[in-house]
Amino acid sequence: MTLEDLRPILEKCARCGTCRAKCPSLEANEEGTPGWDVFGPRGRMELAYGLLDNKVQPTKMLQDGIFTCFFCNQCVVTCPSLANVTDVVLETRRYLAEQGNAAPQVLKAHDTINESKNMFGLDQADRVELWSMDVSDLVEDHVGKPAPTLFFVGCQGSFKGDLVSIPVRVVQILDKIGEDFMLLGEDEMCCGNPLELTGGAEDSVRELAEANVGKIEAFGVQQAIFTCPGCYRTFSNVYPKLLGRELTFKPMMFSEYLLGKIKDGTVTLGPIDGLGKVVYHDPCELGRHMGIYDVPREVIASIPGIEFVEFKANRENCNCCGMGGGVAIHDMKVSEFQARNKARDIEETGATVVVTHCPACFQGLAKSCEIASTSGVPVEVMDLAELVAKSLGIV
Amino acid sequence: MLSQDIAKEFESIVGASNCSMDDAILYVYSFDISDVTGRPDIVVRPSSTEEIARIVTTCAREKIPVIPRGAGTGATGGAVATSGGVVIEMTRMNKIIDLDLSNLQVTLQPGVVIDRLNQFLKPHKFFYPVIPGSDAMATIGGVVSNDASGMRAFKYGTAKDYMLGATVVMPDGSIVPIGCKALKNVAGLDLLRLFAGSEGTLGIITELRVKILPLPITKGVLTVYFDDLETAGTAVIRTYQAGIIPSAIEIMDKSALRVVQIYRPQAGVQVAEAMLLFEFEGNKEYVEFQASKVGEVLDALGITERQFSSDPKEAERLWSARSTVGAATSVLKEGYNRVYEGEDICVPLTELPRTLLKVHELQEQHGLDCVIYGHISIGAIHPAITIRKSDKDDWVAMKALADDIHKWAIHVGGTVTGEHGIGVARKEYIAQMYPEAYEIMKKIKHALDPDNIMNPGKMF
Repeated sequence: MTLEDLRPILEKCARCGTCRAKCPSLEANEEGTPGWDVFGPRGRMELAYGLLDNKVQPTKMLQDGIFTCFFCNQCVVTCPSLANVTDVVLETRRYLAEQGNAAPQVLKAHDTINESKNMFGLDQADRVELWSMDVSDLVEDHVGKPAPTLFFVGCQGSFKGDLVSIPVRVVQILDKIGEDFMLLGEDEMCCGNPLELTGGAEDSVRELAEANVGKIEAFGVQQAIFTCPGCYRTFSNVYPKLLGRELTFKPMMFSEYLLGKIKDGTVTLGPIDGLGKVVYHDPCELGRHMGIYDVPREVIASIPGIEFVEFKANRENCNCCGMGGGVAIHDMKVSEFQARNKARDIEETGATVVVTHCPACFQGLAKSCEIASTSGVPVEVMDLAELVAKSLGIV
Repeated sequence: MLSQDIAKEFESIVGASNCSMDDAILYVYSFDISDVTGRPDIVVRPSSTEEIARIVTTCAREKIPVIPRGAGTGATGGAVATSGGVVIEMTRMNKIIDLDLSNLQVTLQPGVVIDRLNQFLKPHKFFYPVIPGSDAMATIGGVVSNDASGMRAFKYGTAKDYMLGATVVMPDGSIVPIGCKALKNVAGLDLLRLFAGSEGTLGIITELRVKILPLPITKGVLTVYFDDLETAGTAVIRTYQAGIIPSAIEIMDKSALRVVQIYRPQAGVQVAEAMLLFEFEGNKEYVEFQASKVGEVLDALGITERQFSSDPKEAERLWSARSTVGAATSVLKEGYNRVYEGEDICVPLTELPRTLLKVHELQEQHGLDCVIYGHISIGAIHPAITIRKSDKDDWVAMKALADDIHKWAIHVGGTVTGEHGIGVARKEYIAQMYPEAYEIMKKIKHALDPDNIMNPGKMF
């Protein structure tokens, strides 16, 4: 896709401003009031149009406007003209980045992924060891050993200290179920999602797609399990387009896998003592992008005695946590402002546990919970895998 | 071109982060939803009446155009800087200052979005009845400045009917409070009604006190399908003649219904030549009584295709589909997209049936697609023209069609704008509608704003 390819989408925009009503980035600022129009979807559409027709300069403000979209897809879901605003944002980011008109940290992130094959610039050889130190006995026999089920750990779970409990719980649960699963180990590469979101070259994403898919298919994998909706969406939607064919294995979120096991009677969840009121946060890339709302809720509802509440804005209306769209790479402050806005949603629910199903959301919500906790009741964030592990008595 | 010294002066008033001459900002603030464009010299985002007064004082001294802007959802170029100057964006001023339920009023800043106001009032079982289709994003400042109304205008009136008080920054930068807290007030000339609908050409409303009403106990909606447009228009007149005043009667023509089927299939509308959506309010019995009386009207016209529901979810589904149908018209035909011209006529009720037919006839004459929807309860019709935006011939044909629609509205004793305003887009028609009265308007404008700095090029 090129900027010119965006013209039909841009022409659809009637500038009606319906998208303003729900866009989180418009109010992700110090005051929490509507910001400059360039920070909303309508403004971003105009900026793309202006770039296309050479009517606006790629200033720092323009970069800020384009690179602070959380990719939450609220604008796409609500657009009366059915204009795919997020497609416009991603292509415009790519256009700007190609010309070097992106923040240095964004361009550096591209280089890091291209060179290291992961988003943290760490040694691929450490992909398994870093997160699996406490469960090495459950892991070592599964790395590179062909099996029908693959657990694709993802960069965040593999390398980020506060997120390693997610893959740990997953392998503990898979082990308890007796699932014949495998891990790619150091052959697992970044899925390319952070590149795609922040304007990285399409060829770079394709290269990662070819590498990941090539390995997985060579092992004869039938289903690949994800705990990161970013990886899941990339495998499900982006890879087939880039590779020009369907994958031979089925990507699925861990919740989908679990629900299947709950429904066929393989897994029976037990009660969790002292959990308190639980609310579920819909990750943008899982909900609005992939349409998965019910599955995680059904898994949670399978836990006996669970006290479940909803956000006032839930499912397709759920507000972003602030960690979407690679905004944190461009400007962490903007993400933190949104985490503060999300804290208000959490406080409204009276929940003590915010469950999510995404490592990026986990980090955003951790900040939100910290803020929400200052109002009195402590609130903690928990990944769905952790909740299920508790329910199974693993932890 | 604005000097750096003046820019610094504005910056010192609103702060550097709320003042911009960045090319991207100036570009994005060059539009509203019409095709009128114009790049401002600077955009400022004040947070108080005092800041606005200081900005306007500077502009008065330097004779710099001042263009107030809310959410930029106007359809006439009213918030576009067609001759440069300062765009004053009001969205930071979005506080609800005081709720006085006993006196049926709320005091608020102009940047409050209508839907947010109504969400705020809902737990108190009150509402602000001026609800345009754009209520999710339109600010009350913009709504009042254009004297907007929306889907319930026949029963509840327009924005000016709810104005109790306002603070206005005048073109010389002075701050003038208008109105009082009483629900009725005839002391002197009605300046509230002068400023409401003045489109920012006389001053800037920086604070408002508006009347609110108790929420209706319950509502019901009646959807009715017609085989021809003319009978739909007749049904509206007959409804009133039967002594029934619904809170809303909306029309969608065949094309509009197709749009809804594509954009909001869950609304479950059928395709017919026209659909009327009646809304009734009151207690359950009264709602049902009104629906049955309208049923008798429809029976007499031989219209049997109808469905009544008092389920709020069903009503919400239909209203959400109706409220955004205008912007959704682009989904009807690939490559053909909505433009806002000739989109806001209002005609006498007796002229409705033939006006509906006339608009269809005109669109065929000009070879363009046009979706019709609107507040037929009050004779307001929104013809939504779609064109290929890259095709110059389509633009020419569209302008000609819009011109014919406007002229027809004037010809039958109606208006070129029922609620969207004059702005730049319809300026040429105001003198055609009432030449003598327009001269008086110009004198008022000159008396209050002799240097013509307040939103120049709009309306006058």
